[in-house]
Amino acid sequence: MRRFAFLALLPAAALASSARADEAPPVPAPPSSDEQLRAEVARQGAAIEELKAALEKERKDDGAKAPSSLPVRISGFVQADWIIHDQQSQDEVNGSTGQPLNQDRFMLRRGHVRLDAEKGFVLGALELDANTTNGLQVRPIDAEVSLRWPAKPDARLPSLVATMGLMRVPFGGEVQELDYVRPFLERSTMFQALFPGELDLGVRLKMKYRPLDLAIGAMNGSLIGNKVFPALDPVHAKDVVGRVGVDFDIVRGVHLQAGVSGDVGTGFHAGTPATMNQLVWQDQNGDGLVEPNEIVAIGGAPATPSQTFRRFAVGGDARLTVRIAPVGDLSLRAEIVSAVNLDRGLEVADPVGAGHDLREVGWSVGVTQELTKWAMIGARYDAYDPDADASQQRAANLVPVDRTYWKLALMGMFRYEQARLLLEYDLDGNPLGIGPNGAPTSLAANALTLRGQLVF
Amino acid sequence: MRALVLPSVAVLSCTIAASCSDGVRADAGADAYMQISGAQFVRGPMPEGSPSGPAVTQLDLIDNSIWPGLANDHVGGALEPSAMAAAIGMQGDLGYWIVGAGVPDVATPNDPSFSATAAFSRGIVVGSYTLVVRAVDQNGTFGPPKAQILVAEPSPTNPPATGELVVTLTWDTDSNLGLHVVDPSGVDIYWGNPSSQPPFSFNQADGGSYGYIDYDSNASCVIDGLRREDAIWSHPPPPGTYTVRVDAPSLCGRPIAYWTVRALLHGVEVAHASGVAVDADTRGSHGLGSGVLALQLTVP
Repeated sequence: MRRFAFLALLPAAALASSARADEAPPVPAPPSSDEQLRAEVARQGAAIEELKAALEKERKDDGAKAPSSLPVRISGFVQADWIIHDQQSQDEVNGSTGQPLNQDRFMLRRGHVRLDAEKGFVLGALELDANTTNGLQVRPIDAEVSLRWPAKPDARLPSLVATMGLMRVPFGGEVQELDYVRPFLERSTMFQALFPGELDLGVRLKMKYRPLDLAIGAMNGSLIGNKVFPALDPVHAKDVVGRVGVDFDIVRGVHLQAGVSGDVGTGFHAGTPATMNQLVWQDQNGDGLVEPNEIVAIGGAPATPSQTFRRFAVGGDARLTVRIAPVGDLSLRAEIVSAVNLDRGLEVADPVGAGHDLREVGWSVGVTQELTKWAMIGARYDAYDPDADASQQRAANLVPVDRTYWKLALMGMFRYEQARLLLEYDLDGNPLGIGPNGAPTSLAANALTLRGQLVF
Repeated sequence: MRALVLPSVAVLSCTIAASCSDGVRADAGADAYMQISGAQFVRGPMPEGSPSGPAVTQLDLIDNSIWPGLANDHVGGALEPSAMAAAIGMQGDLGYWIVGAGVPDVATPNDPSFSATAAFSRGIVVGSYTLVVRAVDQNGTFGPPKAQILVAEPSPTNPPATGELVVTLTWDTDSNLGLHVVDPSGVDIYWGNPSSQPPFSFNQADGGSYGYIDYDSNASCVIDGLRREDAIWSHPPPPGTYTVRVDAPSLCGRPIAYWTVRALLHGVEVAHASGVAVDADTRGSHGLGSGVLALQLTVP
């Protein structure tokens, strides 16, 4: 078709060219080649000067209209989950919260939009998260203002960044790991318990110099995922959190990230308000009728003061990555944390109420293997004991009980550009059930989840 | 590569198989006749006991009367020394409950005790039931049963209303609904005018046949759990047409409430209606003459 059109145009073009040749005026004698070039350069030079003047004028006008703004970069990611089967699911509601107990559902786990801006020594970020984990929710997930030195990275100098705002707590390896980078669905149970939500308000100083990676912060100690007082701070004392790490190539193709972390802070036990005298009916004979001897007077009680308690944690983390050509990277990861009274997300630690300090111990080991650039498989085992000294009255004896939560995550992932399709089966153990013999046993909670992820 | 993959698959399969058979199911047991707070519900029949298993040495109940909606009913007792838990259930129920054994009671210093607070479903019907308790030892061996007959009676706290004419409104959620009955003389009996009897009457020639509302359930969204209101004529009601309306002052945060109205004349159901209250029904006035028409009945 295109060829026929071209052939049809040929006679018309020929006619047009012959007409132009017939009408052309007599041409004057051409100037010499040098003169022609000089004239052309002079003409272009004048044009450039004109453009420069116009640009300068435009800049001045813009400057008068508004202050210079930082260039903003927009990024984000979406993680959409299909919980294919969760053994905990029941078609019931939780009597205390009114929330459904069914977990077999489609869920927007995370939908983040992030704005980053930087200029010279100043940089900042604002990240918002939309999710349907506990109903529709939009919340700030990261909001920080930073000063850095030097303004441009220089390998010969240490890099310093001082930050204030809502940021990741500088503890351990998994807490720092970004949600869209982590190969497994969620963090280990110990970090969901000890650092729920991973982000807290405070100030932080980070320094990186060659293999050395340091971070220290003063934080509220009430992370955004806290079960009690999330993102608030009931005590004036701040938690001091920090990590000392290294990040370097041991040999070509073998990379090590490792560090030790610490957290020292102050926890809070809420007091109670004064109560009034009251009468209560106790149906002691179960006849449903109010009788004089079933009316019980409960005396009022004075207010009890709130109390504070010390809490701390130490931890170690290591991640070794080995490049195995042509398959891909093999990554081994391990982490351990020992803490006292720090649980804020799972079994909230309150030594005042418990009558003893709560010693928490958690650890995890994991391995992932890339299978070319298209796929990855991995496994991670983690265990967390929220009270290493827990005991239970069983018949006539007070016996120690194991309150360990453990999880084995088995993961397979397909990747394409910035997209992931991840299937994970979680084998779950916990102390929440009661076995036939009355002893704590696992409440079945294994889950199979498919996650789609896109980073933009 | 194959050397890595095959052992991995084998380990994975074994782990999944082992884990799937482990643990107890999360089950609130909210559909069971008997519910015990803080205990583990196990769906299905209670295992047959073994003679070698521990026995229940003592079973304590306040009495053997139960009724629909009964809560905070104590079930306790003592178990043989080797017992670590008690399994408590009702014969024919959907499952049973496991309660851990506690310290011995002073009356039985050598035997572990058990104690539970039971509640009974609103759906339980009047009749006889058998409560079965078995002790369980450390190895999960169930012992011989200890049984007790429970007699389900009509609820003394919420007995069915009696009278010559009874109009009953019931509903299904913790909402505040209101019953309106307009008698043949045009008096609207409802929570704001709970009786058709004039404040002071010189003329009692009609035999004192007045209707009254017995209770204003969930008034001001103070939830009492009753979800029922009755309009009662204790004596033969005046002849004529009665109009029954259902008002919804508030759904108390619930999205919807399904209601049912029954009218019993001389103990026989003569009219029945059901409907639904939605948010739109809560708007406007909730006084005299409000509500949606449920039914009309004629008393000869």
